[in-house]
Amino acid sequence: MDITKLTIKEARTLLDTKQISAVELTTIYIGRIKNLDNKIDAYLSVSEDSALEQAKVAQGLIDNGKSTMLCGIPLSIKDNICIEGTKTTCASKMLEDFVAPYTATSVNKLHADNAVILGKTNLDEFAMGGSTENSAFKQTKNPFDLTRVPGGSSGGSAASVAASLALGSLGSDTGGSVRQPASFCGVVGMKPTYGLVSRYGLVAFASSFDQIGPIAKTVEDCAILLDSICGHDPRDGTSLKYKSDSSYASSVSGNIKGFKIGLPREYLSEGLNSEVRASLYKSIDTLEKLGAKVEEFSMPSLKHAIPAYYLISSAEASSNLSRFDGVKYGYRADNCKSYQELIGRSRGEGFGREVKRRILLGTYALASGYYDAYYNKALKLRTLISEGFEEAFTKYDVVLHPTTPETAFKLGQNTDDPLTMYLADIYTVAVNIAGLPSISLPCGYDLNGLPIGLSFTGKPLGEREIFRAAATFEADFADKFRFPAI
Amino acid sequence: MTNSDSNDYIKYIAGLAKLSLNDNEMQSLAEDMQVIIGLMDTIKDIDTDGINATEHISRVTNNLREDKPGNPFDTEKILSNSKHSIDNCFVIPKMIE
Amino acid sequence: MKYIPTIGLEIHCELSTKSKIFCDCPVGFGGEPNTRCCPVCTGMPGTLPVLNETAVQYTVKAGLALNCEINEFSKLDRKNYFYPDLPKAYQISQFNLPICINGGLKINTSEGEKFISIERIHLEEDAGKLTHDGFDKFSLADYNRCGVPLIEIVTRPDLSSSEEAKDFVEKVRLMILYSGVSDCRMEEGSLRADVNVSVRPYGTDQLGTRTEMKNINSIKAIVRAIDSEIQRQSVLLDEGKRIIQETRRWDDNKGESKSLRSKEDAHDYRYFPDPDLVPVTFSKEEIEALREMLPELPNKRFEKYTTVYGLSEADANLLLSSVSLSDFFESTTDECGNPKAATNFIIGEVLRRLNDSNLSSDLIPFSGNVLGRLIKMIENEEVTANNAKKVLAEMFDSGKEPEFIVSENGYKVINDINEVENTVKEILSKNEKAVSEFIEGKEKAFGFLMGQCSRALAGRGNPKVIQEILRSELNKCKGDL
Repeated sequence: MDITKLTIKEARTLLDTKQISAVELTTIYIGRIKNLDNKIDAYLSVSEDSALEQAKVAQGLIDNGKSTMLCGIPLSIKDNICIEGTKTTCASKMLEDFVAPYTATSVNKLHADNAVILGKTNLDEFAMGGSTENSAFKQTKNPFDLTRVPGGSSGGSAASVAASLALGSLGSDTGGSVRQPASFCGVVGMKPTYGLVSRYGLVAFASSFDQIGPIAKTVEDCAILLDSICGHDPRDGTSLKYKSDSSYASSVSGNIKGFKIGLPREYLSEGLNSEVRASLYKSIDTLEKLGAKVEEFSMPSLKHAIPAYYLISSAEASSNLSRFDGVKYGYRADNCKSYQELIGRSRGEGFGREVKRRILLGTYALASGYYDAYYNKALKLRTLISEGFEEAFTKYDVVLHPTTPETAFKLGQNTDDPLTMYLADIYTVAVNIAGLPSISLPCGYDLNGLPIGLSFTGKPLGEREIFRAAATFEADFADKFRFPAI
Repeated sequence: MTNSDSNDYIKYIAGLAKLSLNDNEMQSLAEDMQVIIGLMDTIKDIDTDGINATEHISRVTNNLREDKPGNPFDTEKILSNSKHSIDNCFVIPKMIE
Repeated sequence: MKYIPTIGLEIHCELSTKSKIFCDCPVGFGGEPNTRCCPVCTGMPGTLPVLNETAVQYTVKAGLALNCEINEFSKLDRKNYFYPDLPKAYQISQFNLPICINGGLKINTSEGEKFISIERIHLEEDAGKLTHDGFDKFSLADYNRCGVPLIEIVTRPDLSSSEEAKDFVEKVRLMILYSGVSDCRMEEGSLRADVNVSVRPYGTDQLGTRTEMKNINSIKAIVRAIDSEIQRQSVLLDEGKRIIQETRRWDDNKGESKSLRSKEDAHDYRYFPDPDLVPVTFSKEEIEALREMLPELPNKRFEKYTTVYGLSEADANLLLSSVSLSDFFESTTDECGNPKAATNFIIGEVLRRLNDSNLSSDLIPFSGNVLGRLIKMIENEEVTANNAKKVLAEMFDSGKEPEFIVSENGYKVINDINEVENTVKEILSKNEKAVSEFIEGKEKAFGFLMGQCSRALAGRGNPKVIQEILRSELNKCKGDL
């Protein structure tokens, strides 16, 4: 067994046919984390004892023939998702000591399926960023090139999967935070339709964009994870009362003959790196060879996606992050003589620079006299973008686009340049603006050997279509798929 | 907006957001914000007359819960992450009215 | 100079749901700090609010009781401000699409009836409680009250005196009480008001600069605060000074208000639609169904009491002063069929007893129809009015049924003429002196004999019957002479 190539689906077979026990499998991953994570720095905390305990319980179920798809499968969880009794830091000094008093619904669902939780992964502070460089604690490296970023904000999750330090992971995606690091790390990342997965227990960044999404080595593995975590949650007032007729895992079989795929012309303009572009066109050839029809279309509102996204998400973030005042939990500044001093200093000292930028931008966008020009205008652009997609989906089964304009960049390259960082989100944010499902998977490698990601975006609750398109493409790409050498 | 106006305004916004920043940090964040707001300003000239604002992205309404009381959390657990508590209460510096 | 006051009110009223507005923590009063809390109402990271259906329905009912239109589409917004009693640093409230709009009710003024408009009623969450006593350097925060559902009733500035404000708040309070959505206990802070006051010189139209006093929690204090503020503003204007738009704190013990240093940035709440809560919608049918569920409201009952039942306005108001008393009166009346007798008995006897033992009317240990049965026994001359009072006393003490108490104590009126006749004859034979005095023309002797007969019959004799027989027996004695 080559652990670096192992998938959830394959591990399932090994476990169910008793070729390996759940405890052995977990022990292998714990061992890899101990040996290799000092190079990658994907994890912020590892729960060895509880992971082995969970593996034991899982093995008992397997032995009794009661295993589920995720029974005994070792996973990692982004450290902005709460697990009772364990630290949930959001990679912020603000929450360095915060021990969650409750468990997120998505993790409870994984528990119910007897998955094994190995630990919590690194991220950009409060999920704000695209490189995981905004973590207050660690710099996660890209397993394909340790001098490069893993992407972000779910950089620890993507790197843990790419480096085979977990079989799968849960990340969160507010503007591309699952898909972009998946793309940079050469794995598959999926953002579900807004409301399909409960947000209860995910520390909020931008409530109307945030979705928890799976990261894994294959499309099918992502579908298996989504099957476990999706579904209506009475603790989340925005969660949908929707139940898919059949499992998402079952939607990966089939073909895409006659599939109509739209390619937004606005995503092909200057900023797109030539190698990424070349890889995109190669992928289009593949899709057409597989029987799909790919067609360019124009959606002018996409040009406004970046400012609309940053205005609305920062406005929501400024409000969501107001609760961190040093009183109830989190960093508390010393020797404060007044409440004003306590709150001002706790926030001033506890939050990192990018978080402060977003809070300032969001407060600005909502401030009296600016609301209409910024926040409300952005909400109108949100309508335009949603309508643009709606129209596109009258013609196309799925929309295709590159996940990012460039491949993984060097550590430190963009840290002092927020504008470049923001603009790099160009292809991912529109999906969150419209609340759509989208999946990124590897479609090629640049001259440096860095992975290039391809995204399929679907209509609301169109998960099955994007899984099918992605899985079909993936099957064709399988022999070109690369595993990082660490 | 001139640079100094904009710095004053960022100072005001930081006050509104309760972020205590030292002078250096204030200065460099004000510079960042100048650039970021420049990017945001690109939406100013877009004609959005007659377009409704998307106030909720969710396509559902209501999603209410039944008025059924459950068990509250242990007080200890509620206070467990607080750096300072007395008599089962969260502690703050004296609020002067 | 003389000034015309203009007054507007914002009345906050806690809804009496069983659980909080966004989580399932129980709602209550008092108790140890932070014992009715969970991660949601203490604003822990990652938690989400889910709206309580009953809180929404109660808001609609309050709106209907106060003659409001119900918005078929409404939403919840965040009101952002930092204060340590607000754990999320935003209050979930309603900004531009409240559940109820455009209502109001009539009040009585010295110049007749006046309609006071209610601009809106919106639903929001209450904040926690801070205590400042006990420690020099600390204040303490208790979040038990965080997330208790509140409605805020906002009037237009239609009130012109503290008396009008008093009548309005009392009427609103009654309407809310009767609609069953809040217990409106001012002493527990479940009803509080913010008061906006401005004055302008007679003969001018331009409204003056207004000030606001927040969180006043008794009707008396509202009256005092308004009077004091009208006076303060009038004096300032007389002295040629300006009124500053500000929030003031009313100190009811000192009887004066103090300027609160205008809280910095207090006016930029950065309201925006709460992305965690989907909009609330109602169909016309749902609104009508809630209207159907409302009990008969006090204005309708007043009408019925004074016109159909013929009660005085004072008696009607007294009976309407609480829902439980009014309901008690109605079931008493339904049983005995005599509203006036029920009124007299309730006001004269029941309320007196409640006052003596400091009980509220919802603690009467028996129901209205049980009292109605007792009144019916008086009407049917089965028990005397005097004994009925004794029966009532026992009903309060033991909670026993009146029929049982009557028979146990032998209070049943004796309507058997033979028994009365025999007793009268016996008394007359024992009191020859009094009989002869009566025959000599001393009417006083009749009263004495009457008393003797009643006592001998242990108070159970029907006085009319005794009187009749006594007189006829005495006349016989007269004839015999």
